[in-house]
Amino acid sequence: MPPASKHTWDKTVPDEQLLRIAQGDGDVDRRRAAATELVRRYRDAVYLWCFRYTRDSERALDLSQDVLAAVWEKIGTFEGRSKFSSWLFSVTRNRCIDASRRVDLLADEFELGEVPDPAPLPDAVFEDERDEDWLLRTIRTELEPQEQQAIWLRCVERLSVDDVTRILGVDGASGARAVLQRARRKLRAAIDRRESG
Amino acid sequence: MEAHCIDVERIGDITDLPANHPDRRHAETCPRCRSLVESYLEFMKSDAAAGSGVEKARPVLDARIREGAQRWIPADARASRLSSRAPWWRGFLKPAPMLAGAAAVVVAAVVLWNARGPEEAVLRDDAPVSSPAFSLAPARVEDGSIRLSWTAMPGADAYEVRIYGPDLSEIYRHPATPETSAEVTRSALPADLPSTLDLTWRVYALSGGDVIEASAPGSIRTP
Repeated sequence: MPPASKHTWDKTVPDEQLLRIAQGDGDVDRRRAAATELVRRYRDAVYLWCFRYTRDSERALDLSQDVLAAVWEKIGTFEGRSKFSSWLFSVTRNRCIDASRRVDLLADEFELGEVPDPAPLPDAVFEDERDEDWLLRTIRTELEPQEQQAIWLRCVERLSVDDVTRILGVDGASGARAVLQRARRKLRAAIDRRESG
Repeated sequence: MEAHCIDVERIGDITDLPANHPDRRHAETCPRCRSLVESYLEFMKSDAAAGSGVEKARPVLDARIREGAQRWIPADARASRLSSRAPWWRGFLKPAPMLAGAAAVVVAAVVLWNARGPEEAVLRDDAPVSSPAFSLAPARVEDGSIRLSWTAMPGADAYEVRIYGPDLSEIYRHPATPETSAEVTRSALPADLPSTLDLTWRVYALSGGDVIEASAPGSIRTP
């Protein structure tokens, strides 16, 4: 529940309107109430995205509290160049990515699905950022667009295999699993070539 | 990431762009940007996954939101607070100026309280959730007046129409009426409202003077 306040807003009031009130002049209580309503609208979205990313409710709760704290720090100076929801998505996503040790593009389904903070596979441990840049370039050059998207959705955005299957419109019993396996095989082969060359 | 990939902060704006916009076209063909759009859409859907524990998390997050709100001081208010630390007003802390100041504050508070009008209210949802059966008909503008009508709400003995300005502050309240229509003349609205300004209106169903239902907000335009 939001703080008790004489100011509450209908759910049809757009985010941008609330943001204008929060950042406008006048009654601080009213502005605070508008900001509260705005943040509260996305409470579940932030938590659920963190949960989807970590697959761990305790970690998701910690991360989403971090996100909310960051939002309160920045909401007054948010310039509104993008949608509030888009900005909040970016804060949430960045917090989750920062909190995990690294984006592991080669983690297999067991690791992504079962381990809250998957360690990279040995052959995906890179010395520095240049290696990651190389891997990102390799993804673009070695993988088909559908394989690239499957890897992005599953390993960076951490969507479930079912969601990736649905988004990609993949037919077949294994859904996006087959696409992901194929993509990882190609990436591992590229890594092997690089290491042996 | 390619040089022209979409910044994550802007990803929510992409789907609103026209189909032929270069950024939209890029987002539809670039696997990284397409994935970001999909991920953003999942964020917005916020479907509770099994075992997510979102019900347990809500009270904790609400407490954190309350805490953040209590601490949050808008930047300009903070600035004015800081500037008020200047020593010039310390003289007012002496007993006589303090008493005079307190009296002035009381007088000003009484004057403000008596002068408060309906324009201080804002569009709020402290009324019961609107029922789909209680709906607004499209507003009609005729001869410089706005004709408003709505469906009857079972159990209601009167209706109150409220009109809100662009900042959603209440600018007009029509006296409670047992009818399911009302006419608002242009002259009843604030004189400084420009023509063809989009306003919001809402009807509150009353029973014995208590609000029992509120309609969903509707849109009208000043004549």
